[in-house]
Amino acid sequence: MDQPIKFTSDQPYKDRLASHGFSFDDPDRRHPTRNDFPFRVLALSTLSGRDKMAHLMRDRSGRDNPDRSRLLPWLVPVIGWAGWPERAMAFDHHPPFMPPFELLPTETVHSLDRVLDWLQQLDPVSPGWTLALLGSLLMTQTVAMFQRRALLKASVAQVPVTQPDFFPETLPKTSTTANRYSWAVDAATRQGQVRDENQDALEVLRFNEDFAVLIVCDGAGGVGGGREAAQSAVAAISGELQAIWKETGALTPADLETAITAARKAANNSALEGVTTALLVLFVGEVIHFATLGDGAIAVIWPDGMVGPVQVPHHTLGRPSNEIGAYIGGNCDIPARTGTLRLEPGCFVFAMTDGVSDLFTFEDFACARHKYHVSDGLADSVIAHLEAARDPDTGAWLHSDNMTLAIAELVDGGGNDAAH
Amino acid sequence: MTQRIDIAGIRTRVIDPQFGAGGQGQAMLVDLEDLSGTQMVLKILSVKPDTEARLKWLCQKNLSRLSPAFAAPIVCETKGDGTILHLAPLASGVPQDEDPPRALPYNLQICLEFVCLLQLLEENGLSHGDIAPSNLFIAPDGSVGLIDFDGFLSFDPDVPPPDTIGQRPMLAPEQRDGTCQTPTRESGYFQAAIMMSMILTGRYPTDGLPSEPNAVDRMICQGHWPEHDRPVGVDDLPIEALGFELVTLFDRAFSLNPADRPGPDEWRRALTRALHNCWIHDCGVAFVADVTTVACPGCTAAISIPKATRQLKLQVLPNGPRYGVDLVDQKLIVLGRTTMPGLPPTVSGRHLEILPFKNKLLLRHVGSNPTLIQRNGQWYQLRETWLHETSLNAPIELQLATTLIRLLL
Repeated sequence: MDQPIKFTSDQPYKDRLASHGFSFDDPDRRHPTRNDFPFRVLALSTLSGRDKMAHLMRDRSGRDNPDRSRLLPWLVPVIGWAGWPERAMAFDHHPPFMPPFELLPTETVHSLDRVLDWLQQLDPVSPGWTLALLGSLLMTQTVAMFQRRALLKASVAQVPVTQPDFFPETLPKTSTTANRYSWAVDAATRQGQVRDENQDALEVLRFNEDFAVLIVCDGAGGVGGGREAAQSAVAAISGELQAIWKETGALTPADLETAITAARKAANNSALEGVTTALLVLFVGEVIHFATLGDGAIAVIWPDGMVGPVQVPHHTLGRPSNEIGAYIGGNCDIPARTGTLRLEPGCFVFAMTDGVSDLFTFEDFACARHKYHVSDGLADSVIAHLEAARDPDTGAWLHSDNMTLAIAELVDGGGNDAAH
Repeated sequence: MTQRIDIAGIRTRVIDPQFGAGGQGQAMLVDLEDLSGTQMVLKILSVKPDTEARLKWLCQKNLSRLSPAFAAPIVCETKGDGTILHLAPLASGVPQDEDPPRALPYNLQICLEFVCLLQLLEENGLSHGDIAPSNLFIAPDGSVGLIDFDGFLSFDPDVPPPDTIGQRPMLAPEQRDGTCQTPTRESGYFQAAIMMSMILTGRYPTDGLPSEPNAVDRMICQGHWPEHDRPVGVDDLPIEALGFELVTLFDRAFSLNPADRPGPDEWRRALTRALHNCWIHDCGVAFVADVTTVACPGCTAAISIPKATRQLKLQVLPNGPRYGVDLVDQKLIVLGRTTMPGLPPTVSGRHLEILPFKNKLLLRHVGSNPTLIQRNGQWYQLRETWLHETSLNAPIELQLATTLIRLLL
C-alpha cells in the first residue's frame, strides 16, 4: 500500500496570506494589513490647500453648471412656499403640508370682513401686484446673493476666523497660559500619652501659594538626644532652604539634599548625640519633590480615592522595624531617597512620622475624602483622634510614639479654562 | 510627443493610451512623473452622477491600502469635459484565463488567496461585483490581484448600486432568468464559485457540455455543480480529488437558493483545511484526503494516509456532523458557529475554546449562552476547566447553548 507525500505550503505563500490579513496555520488568527503605496502616490499631489478648497467649492456649486447655480436661488422661495415636490406627493401617508385655502363665511366672522373685502378687491394679475411681488423677490434675492458671495470669498480666501469669546467672565484678568495651583497645608504634632517628651519636630515653609516645603523629623527614641537632634535638623534645613530662596527666588530638588547636608553638618558641629529621621516635601505648582531619610511615611491620596505610598523607608529586610538605615546625625552620610511626582487637583499629600503611620488608615480617609478640606486644625484633630484610640480588649493606648502629621491639599487647579 | 495628464494634482505621463478598453471606459498605462518608474493605470469614464458618487466613495475607501492585491482606484477627478478620471495601481501578472496550467495544490493556494481577498472586501463593506477571469490577475509566483472595481457593490445603502451585473458567463441563476436584475452579495458568491471552479479544473464549468446559450444556462441553473454531469476525460482532474468538503461547498455555491451559497469565510476555512490535507501520490496526482481516503483518485491505487498522532474527535449529537481536529500544543481549537457550520444561532461564533497543553486540555467558555459539561451523569456549567487527555478516552458530552456535542480522543 502506497503512502503519498504530504504537500506543504512554503513560507512565502504563508507570508503573502498574512499580508492579506489571514493566517495559513490558524484560520481564526488575523494579521494587520498595510500597504503604503497609495499613500506615497497621494503624497505626490501638487494641489495646494487653496486648490483643494476651490475644487470642493466647485463641486458644491453644481458641478460647473452655471444655469443650475443661477436658477437655484430663485427657486428657493418658491420651494419654501410650495413645499418640496417629493414631499408634496406623500398625501397617502399624511395630510398635505398646505391645507386647502378656504374663506370663512363673512357672516360668521365679522372681524375679518374688512380684510376679506380688501383681499377680494385685489387683482393678482394686475401689473402693479405682479411688479410688487417681483420687486420684493428681487430685493431679497439680491441681498442673499451678496451674502453668499461674501461667504464664498471668506471661505475660499481662508480668512482666519477667530473664535469669539462668548464667556469672557470665565477668563482670568491676567490671561496667562501657565496654570496656577494653590496648596492648602496644615500640620501638627503631639507628644502622645506614652512618651515623656516630644522628639518629633515640624516646620512648614510657605513661600508662595503654590510653593511650600514640609519638614518632618522624628528624633530616634532609642538613644538620647533625639529631641535636640530633630529640632536641630528642622532648624538647619529650614534655615538653609530659606537662604536659598532669598538668594535665588526658587527651590529645586537638589536644594532638598543641600539642606540635608547642611543639617548633617550642623549636627556634627554641635556634636549632638541623637539622630533623627527627616521627611522633606517640596511643593512646586502641581509637582512635589521629596527627599527622605529613615522611616515615617509620605503618601498621596488621589482624587479618585486611590492611595499611593510615595516614600520608601530606610529599613533592612529581616531586621527590626525600629532600626533605620539612614538618618541625620551620628556621622551618617547615606544619601536621601528622592523623587518627584506630578499630582492632580484634589490630591492629598501626607507626611507623617511612624507614630502616625502605624495607626493612620489611608483607606478610611480616602473613602471620606470629599468631606475633608485641609484647613487649620485638621491635622491636629486627626492626631487627636489617633491619640485617643485604645485597645478595646485591654484599654491600652494604641499609639506608642510621638505623633506628627502634615497634610497638604492641591485645592486649586489653575487659572484658566483649560485647566478646569 | 508624450501626453501628460494631471489627476488631482498627481502628474502622470502616458505610456500606452490604448492599454485597455472596456464597456465603461478607456484605460491608459501611465508613469508617475514625480515617482519615476512607477506605472499605474489611468481610467477615463464618462461622468454620470451615480458613477461619480460611487467612484468617490471607492477612492475614500482606498482599498489599495489594505493590500497590494487590490488594484482599486485611489484618486479621481472630474474634468470639465464630461469625463471623470481615476488612477489605480497596476496589477502584476496576467488574467486568470491566460495563466499557464498549475498543479492542484497551487490552484488551491490561488483559490485560498482569492477568497481571502473577497473576505477582506466584505469586511470593508463591498463586494467586487464583476468577478471574471479577466479581472483576476495571477502573477508567476501565484500571487493574486483583483482589478476593475467599476462594478463594485457597496453594502452601504446610501451608495448608488452599479449599473452592471457582471459578465454573462459569470451570472447567477436568478440573474440569468431575469428574476433579479441587480447584483447582490449572493450573486457575487456565485461568481466567486464559478471563478474557483475554473481555477481548480482549468475550464469553465460547462466546457465539454452543450455550448448553446440556453443549454449553458440550463446546466448552470441545475442547482448543483455542473462538474458532476461531465464525463471524466483522461486528462481531467476528477472532482473527487478535491475532497468531500470542497465538492459539497461547490454544490451549495451553485444552489438556486442564494441564501445557501457559502461566503468567503466558509470557503477560506475549507480551502485552508484542504491545503493542510493535500497529498501527492506517486502517480503524480495531487488530491485532498482525510483518514477515510483509501484510494488515489487518479490511479485508484490503494493508499494509506498517515493519521495524525493526536486527534480530537467531535460529533454534534444526535446525528450531526463529525469533526476531527489535530491536537497541537498551544494551538487553540475554537468551537462555535465560525468553525462548525450549521449550528443554531444560540451558539456563539466562538463559543468554547480548547487549548491543548502537555497532555491536558483547557476548556474555556467564551460564548454568550452557557456551556454545560456532563461529569458523572450530572450537568455542570463550564467556565474554565482542565481535562486530562486520558479522561477523554471515554466520550465527554458538552452542551454549547442548546447543542449537544461529544468529545472523544
